[in-house]
Amino acid sequence: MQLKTTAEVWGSVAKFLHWSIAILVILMMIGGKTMGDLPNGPDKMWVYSMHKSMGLTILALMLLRLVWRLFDPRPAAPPGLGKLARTASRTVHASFYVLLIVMPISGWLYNSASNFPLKWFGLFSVPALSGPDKELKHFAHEVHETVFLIILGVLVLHVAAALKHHFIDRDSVLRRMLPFVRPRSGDTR
Amino acid sequence: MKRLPIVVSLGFACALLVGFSVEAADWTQQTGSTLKFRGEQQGEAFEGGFGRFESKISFDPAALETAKFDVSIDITSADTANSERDETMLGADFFDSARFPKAQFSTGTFREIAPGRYEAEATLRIRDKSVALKFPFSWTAAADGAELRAEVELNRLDFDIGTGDWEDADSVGHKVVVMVRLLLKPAA
Repeated sequence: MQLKTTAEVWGSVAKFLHWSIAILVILMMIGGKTMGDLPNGPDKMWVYSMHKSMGLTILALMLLRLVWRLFDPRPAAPPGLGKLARTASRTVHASFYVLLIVMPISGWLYNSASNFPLKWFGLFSVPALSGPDKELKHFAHEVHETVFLIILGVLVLHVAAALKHHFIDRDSVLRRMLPFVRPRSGDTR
Repeated sequence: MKRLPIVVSLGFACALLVGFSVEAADWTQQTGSTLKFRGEQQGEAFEGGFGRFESKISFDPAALETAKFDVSIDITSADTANSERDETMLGADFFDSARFPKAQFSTGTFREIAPGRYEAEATLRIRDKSVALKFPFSWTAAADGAELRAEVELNRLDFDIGTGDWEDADSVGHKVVVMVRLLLKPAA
């Protein structure tokens, strides 16, 4: 198993972080959009506490990923990739780092300003980022909802680009991030 | 005719005594008095309080048999600094403040349990449930008044607060600690 990223393929640490965060983010986006409609009760409270715990998990994974990214190289860009595409790719990836860190922090802040307790999967208490504060609560909620929409947009671009690389450009950009896929030798296309 | 002044003065003395003891034993609640509670949500403590409550306090440490507390609590003034939680708490599953806007606390007999510490047999009615409980408190007299402090542990289920799906102690703890601090001035 190749832990670190090479010129040909993403390392397994980067792959693990990418896919675990991807799955969590998609679950969170679906859950987050629907959980508000649940009937008030202990079940709703449980769903919210799961949402909060998963959000904190994403935050931790994103911070790990950010640190790992500082030491781990990126695979080479496929040859012939235009300047605009390169800039677009860099922008989308950088946006994800910012958005997926801002998103859980805004949720955490929203929770703190709402004066709800927070226990990570019921295991340990997470400190509040602020005291009860109506204005801050409103602000954090606005950020949380706006960033949701931005993430949705960036996610669509990201997936569309991956599929374009795979099916139209027929290069290895998607394949080299897939789990359990070995690069073809010398495949840097 | 000779006796009259004695009768009159005795009567006067009695009236004076009664007058004094009544005046000395009646107290009015001052601003700064608090009625707070501490509960648990998903294993984490939270605190709240009632912004509006009225206490009628008659208390003289030297005449416990005359002591009487009557406190009326405005349930709608409950506040835990969390609008979602407060809404649920005042809703039909918990306090149901629309149907039961007031809680009532009243005492029976008092006894001294230690210097400056007393205990009253009391009844607390929340919603339509009246529960008998012991109410231990401390009484500290000061130059211009007195201070009463008490801490009582209640079980919310005794009062049908949070029944049905909400009975689960993991989501909302059964134990609720009520903290009372009354700042009192002799009634005018």
